[in-house]
Order: sequence, then C-alpha cells, then structure tokens
Amino acid sequence: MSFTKSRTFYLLYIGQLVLAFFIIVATGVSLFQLAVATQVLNALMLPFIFYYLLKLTDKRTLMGKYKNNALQRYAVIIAAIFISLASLFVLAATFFK
Amino acid sequence: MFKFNFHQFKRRMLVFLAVFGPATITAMADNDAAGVATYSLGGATLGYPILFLLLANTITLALTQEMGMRLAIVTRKGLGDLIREQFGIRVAVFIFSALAIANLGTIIVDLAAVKTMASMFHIPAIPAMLAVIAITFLFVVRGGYRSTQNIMLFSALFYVTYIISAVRTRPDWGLAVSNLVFPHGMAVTADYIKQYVIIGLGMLGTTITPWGQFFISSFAYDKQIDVAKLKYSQIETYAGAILTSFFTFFIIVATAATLFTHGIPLVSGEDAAIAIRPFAGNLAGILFAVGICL
Repeated sequence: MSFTKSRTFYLLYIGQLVLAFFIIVATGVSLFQLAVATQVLNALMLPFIFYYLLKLTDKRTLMGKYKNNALQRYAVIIAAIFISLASLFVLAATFFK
Repeated sequence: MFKFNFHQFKRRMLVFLAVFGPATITAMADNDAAGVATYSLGGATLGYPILFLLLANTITLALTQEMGMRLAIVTRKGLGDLIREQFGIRVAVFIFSALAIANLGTIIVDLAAVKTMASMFHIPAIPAMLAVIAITFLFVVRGGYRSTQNIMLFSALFYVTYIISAVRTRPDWGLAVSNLVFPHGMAVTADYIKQYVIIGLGMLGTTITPWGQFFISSFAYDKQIDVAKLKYSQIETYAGAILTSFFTFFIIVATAATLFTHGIPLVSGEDAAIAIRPFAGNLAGILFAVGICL
C-alpha cells in the first residue's frame, strides 16, 4: 500500500470516528434502536455485495477450477432473494405506517 | 481396518494451525457491540423463537465468507482491487460508499456502547469515548495482522462470559434448542411478525456484513495462504461461522430467559445488565456488560 493511499484511508477512518463521536454527544440516541437501525442498513446492502461476490467467484478466467459449484451458487442466490424480500417488507413497514 | 496414522494427523493439524486465524477473527469481530445489542434486543423482544433464524444465518455467513476467502487465496488480490479491475471504477465507488455508510453506523453504535458502559461504571463518558477513539486509531495505524489476531483471539475468551450469563439465568433449554429447528411457543400477532422481520433482518445484517467480506479478504491476503492449503482454510471458515453462532445462541438465550419471559422492555444499555442481574446474579450482570463493550 502506498503512503498516499494509506493516508487517505487513515484520514477517512479518523473522520468517521470523530463524526460518530459528535453524533452521540449531540443526540444521545438509544443504543438498541440505533443498533437495529444500523444493522438493518447493513443488511439492505448485502444483496448488492452478494451479487458482485457471486460474479467474481463464478468467473472461470479468474478462479479456474476453484470457481463456485452449483450448490454454493444457488444457496447464496436464495439467501439474496430472502434478504431482498425482507428488506422490502422492512422499508414498507418503515415508510407506510 | 482403519489404522490411525499419527504423523499424518500431526502434519494435518500443523497445516490447519498455520492457516488458522482469518475466518475465526472475522467471526469474532462480527459479535461486536452492535451485534450483541441487536441479539439482546432480539432475545428480549421476541424470546426463544428468534433462535430459528440462527441456522440460516450461520449457513449464509459460512458460504459468503468462504467465497471471500477463496477469492483472496486463488487470485492473490484484495477484494477492492478485484472489484475495480473487473467492474470498473463506478461500481468500486458505489460499493465503497455503501461500505463507508454502513461502517459509520456500526462505529456510532460501538461508541454509544462505550458511553453506556462508562455511565454504568460511573466513569466520565466523554473522556472514556475519546480514550477509546485514540486507542482504536493507534491500533489501526500501528497494528498489523499479528496484533489484530492476538487481540481478537484474546477477546474471544470474554465471549465465554455469555455462556456463564446464560446458564445462570436458568433458561428453558428444551424450548431454546427446539426453537433452533422451528419457531414455536409465542403468541403470533401482526406486531410480533413485523418485529420479527425487522429485528431478524438486523440480526442478519450484523452477522453478515459488507465489511466482513473485505475483512476476511485482506486477512487471507496478508497471511499469504497457499492455494494448496485451501481445504484447511475452508474448514476454518465454516468452523468460524459455527463458533460465532454458538456465542450468539447464548446471548439470545440469556436475554430471552430473563427480559422476554418477565416482559421487561430493553431500552438503554444499562437495562440489559440491570435487568439480567436479579435473575442471573451480580456477577453475570457485570460480565454481560463487559462482554457488550468488547
């Protein structure tokens, strides 16, 4: 890793820490409500992450004989579908009360 | 007849120990404060039936972590570089932004947990948070793979506290274990189902994280594991996923047996430790609180 690349990373990281500090001091949010909200946000991004992960691990030019087998591929696709459906439900429940 | 070959067994164990680390570390990191808070809320609000999601969670975690690990070992490239190479800069920026947002959320929760811990032990909150920020930053700048590995494996010892807490709450073990297979024993209402999906999705999001993918990829990359040893890394990945869920099980059981059974809502971090105390005793309450912080 080059110096400038890592410097950007560290700046970003310390920026996030400081921002998080001010958000907590300024708002005094409830730990548990915040935890679920942020972790749901995490889950909403998973189908996208899974999509690119599958595309990469399915590529023969990249993985050769180590590419996914059918079981691995379909299990992750099914997981992505379930997560997407649950995400839609949660979004609907949040915005149309 | 099967003959036990000690030398072969010893050699295999040594290879396993050599590749051991990346998946278990990532799995341990998954049970951070945000994770413990989410699992606690799940146990407190929904009781034992939320344990049903654990199996699907574990399988998805194991499968996706194994993919990330295999990708790093076979291509010998970091996940960030691979995404940029294969899908272009636009996709890379998109993934990176998503990651930064999700990361910020988790950092906020982890810092909020420090604040809660500080107030529980009557330590001034703001200096405590600043101290943790300073230590974290120093650690990220100065620490390498080896120090991360040691700290994470050490902190894994503290997860044992959840098992102690859970046992001391005298839970209904039969109900807990049977709920792993199918959800039962609850009053199904529209609100219960809604809470189940929301908290369930949160549980999934805290177990399987976008950053977890980058984490395991960079660890496997740093450790320069040989392709020939891929099998052992796969075994470690699956074992790591099972280990994570093993501790999650006890976190949920502890809160389900106390907070859910007695209808105590979980609002602030203090509640978890205070509410668990009358049922599990002082020590378990404190242990649970310390576990949250780690």
